[in-house]
Order: sequence, then C-alpha cells, then structure tokens
Amino acid sequence: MNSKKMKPSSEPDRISTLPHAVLVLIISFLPFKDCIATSILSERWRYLYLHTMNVAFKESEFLNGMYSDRAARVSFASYMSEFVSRFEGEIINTFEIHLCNPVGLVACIQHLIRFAASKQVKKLVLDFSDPSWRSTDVASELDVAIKLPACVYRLKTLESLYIYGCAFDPSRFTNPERLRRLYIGWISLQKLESLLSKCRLLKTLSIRYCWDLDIETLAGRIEELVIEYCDFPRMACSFVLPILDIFKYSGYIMCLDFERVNKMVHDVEFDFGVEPEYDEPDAATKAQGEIVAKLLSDFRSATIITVCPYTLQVIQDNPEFMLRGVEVEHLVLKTKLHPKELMVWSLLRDLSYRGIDPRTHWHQNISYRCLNRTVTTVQLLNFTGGFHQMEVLSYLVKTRPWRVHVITAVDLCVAKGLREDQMRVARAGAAMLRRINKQVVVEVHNDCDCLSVFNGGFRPI
Amino acid sequence: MSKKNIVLKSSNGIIFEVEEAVALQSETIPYMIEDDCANDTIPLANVTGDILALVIEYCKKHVVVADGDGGGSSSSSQEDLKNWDAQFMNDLDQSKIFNLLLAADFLNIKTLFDLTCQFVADTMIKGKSVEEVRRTLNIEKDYTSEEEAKARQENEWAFK
Repeated sequence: MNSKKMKPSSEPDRISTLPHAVLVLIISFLPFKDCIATSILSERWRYLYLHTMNVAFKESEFLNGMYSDRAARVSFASYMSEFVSRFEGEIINTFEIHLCNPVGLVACIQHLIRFAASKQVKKLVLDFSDPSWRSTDVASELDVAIKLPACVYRLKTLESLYIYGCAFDPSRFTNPERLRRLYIGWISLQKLESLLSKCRLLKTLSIRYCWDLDIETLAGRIEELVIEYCDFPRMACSFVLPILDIFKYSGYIMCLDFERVNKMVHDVEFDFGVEPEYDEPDAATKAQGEIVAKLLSDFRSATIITVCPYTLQVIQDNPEFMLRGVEVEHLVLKTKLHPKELMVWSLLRDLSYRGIDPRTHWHQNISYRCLNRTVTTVQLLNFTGGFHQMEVLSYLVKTRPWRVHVITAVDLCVAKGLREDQMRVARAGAAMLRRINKQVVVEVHNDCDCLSVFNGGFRPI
Repeated sequence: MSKKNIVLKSSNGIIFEVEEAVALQSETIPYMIEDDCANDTIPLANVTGDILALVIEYCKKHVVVADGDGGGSSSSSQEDLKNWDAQFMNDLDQSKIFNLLLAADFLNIKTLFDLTCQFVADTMIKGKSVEEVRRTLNIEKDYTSEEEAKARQENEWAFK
C-alpha cells in the first residue's frame, strides 16, 4: 500500500455517494466486527450493516476474552436474536454461529439457523464445539444440545456446511447438489454414505472428533479429505477417490484401504500420535507396522508425505515391508530423534534394517545416497544441543573419505523456553559443528514460530 | 469465425478498439451491440477515457484465463493473476478506484467489480478505528455525540 492513499485525500466523500447496493457489497467484504462498526461513521451508514451478506456471530469476539458466564451467554444470545429480527437484507451468503455448547439456548439457536435458511444461505457455519473436547470420549459423554432444524435439510443453496457439535442425520438431506465443502465434527456420525452419494460436487470433506462412524466405503469426486481423531467401530474403511489430492489422517492405526484412490496425490499426512508408546514390539505393534508400511507404500508417488514419530517407530519392526522406490519429492519426518525412530534413515535408501545403537551408530562408516547427492541443507527444529542431536548433526557435517559432501548449511532452531544456561549449551553445540567443518554455514535461530520445513528466511540470533 | 473487433468510445470522446472477447467480459456491452448496429462505435457515456483504459487493461489481462478455464495447469496462472490484480489496484489513487468501481458496476464486469469492492473494504476500512475510516474516506460525522453514543451502545461489542 503506497503512502499517498493513507493521507487524508482532498477529495470529497466519494464513498458515501455510491449506490446502496454497492455500499452493501463493500461492507459485506469486511470482517463482521468491522462491518458493524461502520454503523457510527455517519447517518448514511447508520443502518447499512443490517443488509450485510456475511453474518458471523462469534462468542469469543462478543465477550472479548472475558469469562463466558451464564449471564454473558444469555446476553450474547439476545444480541443475536435482536440482530436477526432487525435484519433488512434479502439474502445472506455466509452465516456463522460460534458458541460453545449452548445448553439452555437451544430455542434461540434454532431460530437463528431457521433465519439463515430463510435467507438462502450459501455458507453455513454452526460451531457449538467446546475447546475442552479434546477426544471423542469426552465429547460423546456430553449431550449434544442442538439438533439441526428440518429446513436446512431442504436447502438448495448450500455450498459450504460446517457442523460442529450439532446433531444431524446425513440421510435426511434432500437437495445437497451444490454442496462443495463439508466439515463435520464432535458428533455421532452415521449414515454418511447416503449424504455423500447425493453430493456430486463435493470437493472437500473434513471429519473431526466424530464417533460411531459406520461408513464402509468413502467414495466420490473428493479432492481434499481430512479425518482427525474419529472412532470407527469397525476399525476399517475403504476409499474410492479417483481425484484425491490431499489426504490427512490423524488418529488410531486402522485398516485404511486405498486400492481405488488416486496414487499421485499431492500431499499426504499421517499422525498416529494418539497410539500409546511401547518399549518392546509385540504382535499388535507388528500388525500395526504392516498396516503403516502398506499405507506409505500406497502413497509412494505423493509429492509430499508427512509422518509422525509413531510411524517411524512402528514401521521398523517390519523389515520385510521395507519401502522401496519411494518417489516422493518432500518427505517430512516429524521425529523426536528417539533411538527407536532412527529407521528414518533406512527409509531413504534400500537397505534392510538390523537395529541401531544410538551411541555408536553415527560413528560407523556408513553413508546414504541422499547425503552424497541431494541433501544440501539440514534444518533442525527444537535444537537444544543435547547428546542425540549432536551425534546426528556431527555425523552429517563431518567430511569423510568415503562420501561426497554436499551439505552446505545447517539451520538450528532453538527450542522454545530455554534458560540462559541451556542457551549456552545450544550455542556451544553450534560452535562445535562450525569447528568440525568450516565449509558448512551453521546458523542458530530463535524465532521459529513461522518456520515451515520448506521455507527459510528466519532471523539469526 | 474470424476475430472481430469492437470499438468503444469514452464519455470524453476517446476511441478504443478491442477484440470482441476482451469487451465481452462486460455483460452490458452485448446488450449495447444488440441495441445499436454491431459495426458502429459503442458510446459509453458514464466512463471517461482514463478509466476505460484501465478497464480494458484489466479485461485484456483476464481474457486468456477465461478461455482456458478448467485446465489442470491453470493454478499457477491463477496465482499470477491474483498478484497482477493486487499490483493493478495498488497503483491507483482513491479517486481512480471509485471511478473504476462505478465503471465496473455500469459495465457489469463482475470480477473487476468484486476486486474493487474488496480492495476498498480491505485497504480503507478493515482494521481501522472509526476516526481513521472517516479521515481516510473524508466521511463527515453528521450526528450529535448523543446519537453516536446511542449507535455505539446498540453494538457495543464491535467497539471494544
């Protein structure tokens, strides 16, 4: 934005002379709070906001960080009712309600939803989830207070639906032809197939913290699928998704059948962090390892694969499922550098795994193809200068007679919240790496919040 | 069918000759072609030459992509277009922006109309205090302080 526009212009007030419909469109592009605030600009703007095409009621904004007690929630509910009773617009494109677990406000909320449906809403966001519902166990014990009013099932205009903590019956939708994005969360979810079969345009499907999922085959022209922390009582699901592009799964390891899915997906992510850690592999973890190795094999042609520490741990118990010919462009390994995860290096080459002793492993005469050819930059998040980290890093920067050295830069992102003495250890670690190989640029960074694995550009200490 | 050109005349008499596909991004122009004779110059009484030049620049940039819609490789060009749009808007002063907005409305070019409305919302109102918005847009406060206080009270949360 150049400075000349920021200065008060010598122009007359052009904007207030614009036609009503144009001003309504302009304020509809604003965040709801800014839109409401235009009501005091001048007489011309006084009631314009009652025509906005995008309405978003957010408890957090309304209460502005204050404790959400019963009285405050009741006052929020009456504000919303008052707003819709005074509303003057003909249509609403987006209608959002974010109010956690609205027990006791059911009648008001249902009235609001019916109002949105009467305005031919295109994007409906109903978020009644509670931030404290971190697992389906917690959420399923609570009674979901709100049930979706019947008029929404008949809506023909819906393009996006977010439905969190609001009970509904997927089989009752009669006209979901235009639905492109569907986000479901925090409910018991059954008969989803009957809805999906009617949504021919559906591109994005996200299911978070749902339980009782009875879906056997998830099929359709879906491009983005996200499943997070859901309970599938059958512990299995198959997918028929010929144009899938993004797939993210978090939760327990179960049978996920991708036989009939586009294998050239762009982005795949698996996070099995909810599985309990184990010390010794047993039959169950071996079976898990087989499933996970199969999953990674299925997606070997993906552009980006991201896996969690548990994946690294469980996969190594199955040397017969060794990954071969992985063609991914970006392999993102979220590792804790736990000795059990060191299989990660074997993933990058064709070599069977015989077990690793973390104290001696990095001192052996070993090398990997990627180190000789392609790996030029190493980025380590949560750097502390600890023993395991230093062992691996020293191995990576050290020049060896049996290997071509192509690593030229090491970026260390210091773990958050280190004390001054811990920072000294980290800095000393970095200094040691610089001494080991003077050709490698070792940088230490501390503000790594916005760092993604593929982006550089952070600030050195 | 051979490429056909359309001649547009601005309110101050400046003539622009453009390809039909460029001009037809306006949903108003087809009606004008039907009403008048197709080979004649189409007079645009509400749009001055400098603004019409901007409209045509925008339409020329956007015409190719509208043709090749639905291709898998269009995503990068979509991204380029977005950057181009942002730069295009950023180079204009406030008076030009409002004239462009009205021209886009009159000519019924939906994407340009949305782009200018969004730009006004984002750069002149969004995230600013009421006083800043009044200053930026030269809006005169024409209520008494009591009336303003009452209006504030109606939607108290939006001013916290």
